[in-house]
Amino acid sequence: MDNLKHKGIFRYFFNCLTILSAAFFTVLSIYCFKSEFIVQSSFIDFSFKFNALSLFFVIFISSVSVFISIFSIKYGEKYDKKPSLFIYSFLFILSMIILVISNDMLTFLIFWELMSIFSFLLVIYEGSEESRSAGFLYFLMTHIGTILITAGFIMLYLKTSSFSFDYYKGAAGIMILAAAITGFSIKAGIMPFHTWLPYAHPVAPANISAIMSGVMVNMAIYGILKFLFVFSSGSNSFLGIILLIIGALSALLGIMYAMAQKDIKKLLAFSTIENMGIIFMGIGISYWADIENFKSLEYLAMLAVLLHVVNHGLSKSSLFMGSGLIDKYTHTRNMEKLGGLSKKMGQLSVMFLIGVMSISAMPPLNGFLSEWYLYISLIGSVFTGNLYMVYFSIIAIALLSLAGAAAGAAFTKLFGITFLGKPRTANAENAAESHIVERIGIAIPVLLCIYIGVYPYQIISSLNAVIFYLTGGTVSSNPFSAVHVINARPFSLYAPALIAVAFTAVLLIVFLYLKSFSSDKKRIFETWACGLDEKNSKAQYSGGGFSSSIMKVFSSFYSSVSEINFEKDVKKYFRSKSVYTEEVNDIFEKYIYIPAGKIYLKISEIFNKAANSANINISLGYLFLSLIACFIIYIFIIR
Amino acid sequence: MNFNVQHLIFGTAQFFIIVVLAPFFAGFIHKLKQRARGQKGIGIFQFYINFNKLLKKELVLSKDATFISNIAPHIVLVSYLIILLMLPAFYRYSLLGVSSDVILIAYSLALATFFMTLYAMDQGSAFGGLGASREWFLTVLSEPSLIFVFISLAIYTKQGRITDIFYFIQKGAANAFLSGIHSGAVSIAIPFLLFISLFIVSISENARIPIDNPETHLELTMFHEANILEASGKHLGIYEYGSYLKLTVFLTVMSLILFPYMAVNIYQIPSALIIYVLKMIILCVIIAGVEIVNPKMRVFRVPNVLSVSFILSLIAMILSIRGF
Amino acid sequence: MIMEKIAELFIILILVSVVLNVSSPFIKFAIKLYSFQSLMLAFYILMGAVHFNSINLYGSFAITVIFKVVLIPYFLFKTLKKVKMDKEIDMYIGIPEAVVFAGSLTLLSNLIAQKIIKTGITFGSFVFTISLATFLIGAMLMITRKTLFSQIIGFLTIDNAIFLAANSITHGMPLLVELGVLFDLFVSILILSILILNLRRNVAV
Repeated sequence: MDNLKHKGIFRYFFNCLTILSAAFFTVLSIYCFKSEFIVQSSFIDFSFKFNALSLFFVIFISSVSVFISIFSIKYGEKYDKKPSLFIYSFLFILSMIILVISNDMLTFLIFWELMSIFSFLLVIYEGSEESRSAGFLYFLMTHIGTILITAGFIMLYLKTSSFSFDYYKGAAGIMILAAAITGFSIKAGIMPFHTWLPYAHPVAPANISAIMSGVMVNMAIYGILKFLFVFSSGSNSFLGIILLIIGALSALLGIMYAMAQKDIKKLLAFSTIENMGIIFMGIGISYWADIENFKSLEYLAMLAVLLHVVNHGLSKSSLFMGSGLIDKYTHTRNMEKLGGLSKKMGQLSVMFLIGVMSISAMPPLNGFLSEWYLYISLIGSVFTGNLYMVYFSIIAIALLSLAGAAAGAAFTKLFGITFLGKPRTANAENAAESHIVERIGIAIPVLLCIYIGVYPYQIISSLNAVIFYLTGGTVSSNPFSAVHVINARPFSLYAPALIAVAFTAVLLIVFLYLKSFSSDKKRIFETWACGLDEKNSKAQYSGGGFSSSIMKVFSSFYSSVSEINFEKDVKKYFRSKSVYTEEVNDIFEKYIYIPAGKIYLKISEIFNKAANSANINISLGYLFLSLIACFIIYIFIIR
Repeated sequence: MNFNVQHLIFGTAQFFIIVVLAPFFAGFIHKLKQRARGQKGIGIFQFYINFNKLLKKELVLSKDATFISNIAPHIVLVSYLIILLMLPAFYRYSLLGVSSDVILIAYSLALATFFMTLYAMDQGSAFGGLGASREWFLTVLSEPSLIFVFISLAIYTKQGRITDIFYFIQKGAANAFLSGIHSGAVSIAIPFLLFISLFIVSISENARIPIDNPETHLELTMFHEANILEASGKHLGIYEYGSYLKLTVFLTVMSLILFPYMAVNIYQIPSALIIYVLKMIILCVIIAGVEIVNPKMRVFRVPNVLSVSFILSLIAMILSIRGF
Repeated sequence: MIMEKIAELFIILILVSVVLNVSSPFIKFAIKLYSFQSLMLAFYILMGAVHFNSINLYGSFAITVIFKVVLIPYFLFKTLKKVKMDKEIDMYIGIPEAVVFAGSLTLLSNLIAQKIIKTGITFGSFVFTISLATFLIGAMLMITRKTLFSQIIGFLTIDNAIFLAANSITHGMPLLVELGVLFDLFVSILILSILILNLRRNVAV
């Protein structure tokens, strides 16, 4: 057995199994993409249904899983001693795939729970104190979410007296939607409920973080789409505005917190919160337009949502895999200890650069495409002239543009501090280029990012099937037809293929011009350091220094504590050592979660005392009382 | 998409004329400033000579430089050129007019900033990191105003492409002032607010005096220059040319807000070109005037000014949603 | 029609000057801005006077120029010189936050104006929006600033806002009423100046 472990048989077996089964699911789903059929298992009462929405998510989950499994064939080496990782991750992916095709409430909840449990086991996999506390927080939060989702489903059952999703169409009122959406937002890490995400995503092994951040959070989006566009009875459009504003706030705050991080994976985790916020904004507009009957606006916003799910999944998983390679070859995730990796890990740095450009929405790439559709739908919702939507979408435009610029700053910091400059410590200096299989795993999503960014028409025409399923309409996928926002008049056009061709052509002309009109002489010399001959790589700008001026302007978003310690009684400019510490606290955590946790502990202490001092009769009494309480709730509240 | 040879020829000609004129505008501002200070000053065409000379010079690369140092200058230049390909400076049908979306323009500027700051951090110089940090500090504050200005224009005219936006304003103004027809979207207050807002943004984005001083050579006071401190030879030449192009982009948009007049056919081109150059010279005089009158301000006072620019564009947007 | 658009520009400049007032930490600049704002208000009244050809509005224009553009700023400057107080204004919140807050107040007042129009009361919604926004931002100036001088500026801004709203609804109040209001304002400024001077002299801050 030990011998097998050392040879990594488990790693090869389970990764290949994942690749094969995920590839099977991908091919199957692409083959029957536009059809709809039902699978009923005979021996257990599970039922599955394939429709455009679930097939889209199956393709998405399984294709991203294929890249990640290729990556972890080699990356997983260091986890060979404890091969449970590979078994759990296989089951984790499988449970997500079954989750999106399940067609009744019990199947959905069972696989939702299995997904949560396997991801929890993967979060605590490394067994350190940090990962265990993160895992506990994750377990707690995700179960609060599950309770709310279950509550939503139970209310649906009481209304329709059926378990099957087929009977839920148009049955969900505002209470059901509110409960379910709150539950799903906890999984998506939307701003007031995000606290678990920046702890849980970084502590897992990198391939698992890639699945969690790139794929698992999107399961919440699946659930929300299902509730809002399939189950909703279409009663209240104000819910859409709430989603829009909450999404915009978490986009802005998420990226602002991302900018303050030192840990690469933590930065990426906060960026996931930002992107989930952007997706929520699109869902909010689309739902609002659905109810207020602005059809073309609804389709556009839905396209923005689905495209952003794909784009974020691709770029975020590639960035998490890249951060895993940095961790593996330098043994640190702290970017203040890195630097100059571009010379040691050349190909990885190119792929990382493209991933970073894609996620910070730089024009010829895919991230910009979905953000552009979102901007256009925001402008469209201003055009609707609805008294409230106009004002809220103006606020959302302001928040989104600020978040967009801040994303540029945050990811410049990530790439610049980690990959450029001089190595700051020995860790970075001794880095080596990663294995080819690992790089292939990252290269595929990166190439897809470029492909979708430059030529999105094929994927838009495929997404049209999903948009049709959810909203009953489609968006034009013709490269040169301008988009319409609310009426039939063409509003604007972003033709990525044209821009990409123009970009390449101009680049070529500039290159040729310089080739023929400038001198080829080149000299390699040292960097200018004010004439000093000092080889101190610590003299470079640090990551904290990079973001400090922006953080100072937006200081009301953070509750940061910083202090400088130095020796006393030494002349001011001749200190041999001074220590600067900075701690950035999450305002929600500091002012809501920690006080709430303290109150909860106090209350439970009181109950604990009461229960421990009691004998068996009092325990039975508690049981009896809770039974009575259940009956009372059943009689007076549910009826 | 209707393909038209005339549009192609004049669009190309417009692009090359703006690209060639760009160093002239920068040099003109420089000359005005020097004259106002009582210096003899350089010639107006000095920046062309500088560019030519920098191309002939030897390229010195840092030991710590990576591939970023080689590609970043080109991408910065190309992203400004792409924006110029979209702008209808004096001819309505610019080359990339079909896809000249306003948000695309704003994000292309961000792309240039992204690569310039990566270049700054590439050589491991402390000044580069400082410049990159300050550049993003300014961009984070001015990008919302820029996007708001553009989206206000889009909402005001109900058009999303910059060519259509200004053509719409031009048509509305012509109808209102020449034949007295009230076509709905004519306003003085909205362009006025947007002009002031964009003026503040362009001063901050183009490293002009109240916010940054492009002529300084003290590293600790630099914003834009600190980014390209390590550039030399043709890279420095490209960056310098890129900064002239960026200035021209902002001035052109401002000139179109100030007085939108674009040729729609071949006969209007000469007059449109003359009016364009005149408008640009007026704007250069205004910018030089602002630069002479004001002292450089403290870094943490910059948010005050940029927040005013943001609110002005917000007020313009509120005015333009009045119609529906 | 062009007259309307120019009047719109004047009204917008009233709002812009109060936003600039929020953004600037200098007292002298604030007083100059107040003078400018009153001048814009006077021009707006003048345009109304030309349009309706009403003698009341001409008189209103004249007294606005005399009192608000010239006399009140003159006395304020004089007091400022006497108390030798030209340092920066202290605020309870940062300037960028205050400016963004002012912007959201403008958004809010536009929403309120739209709501009121929906209920059926008809008057110039645009002028009402601007005067409401100017009123709210003036009140914000009084709340957030620490020094008495800038609170006076806030008070005067509120007065201008009310003046603007009154003019937009009524096409000019009777001259006597306006004169009375302006005298009240003028006297209150005088009293406040004397108060500041005495406070300075006796308390010697």
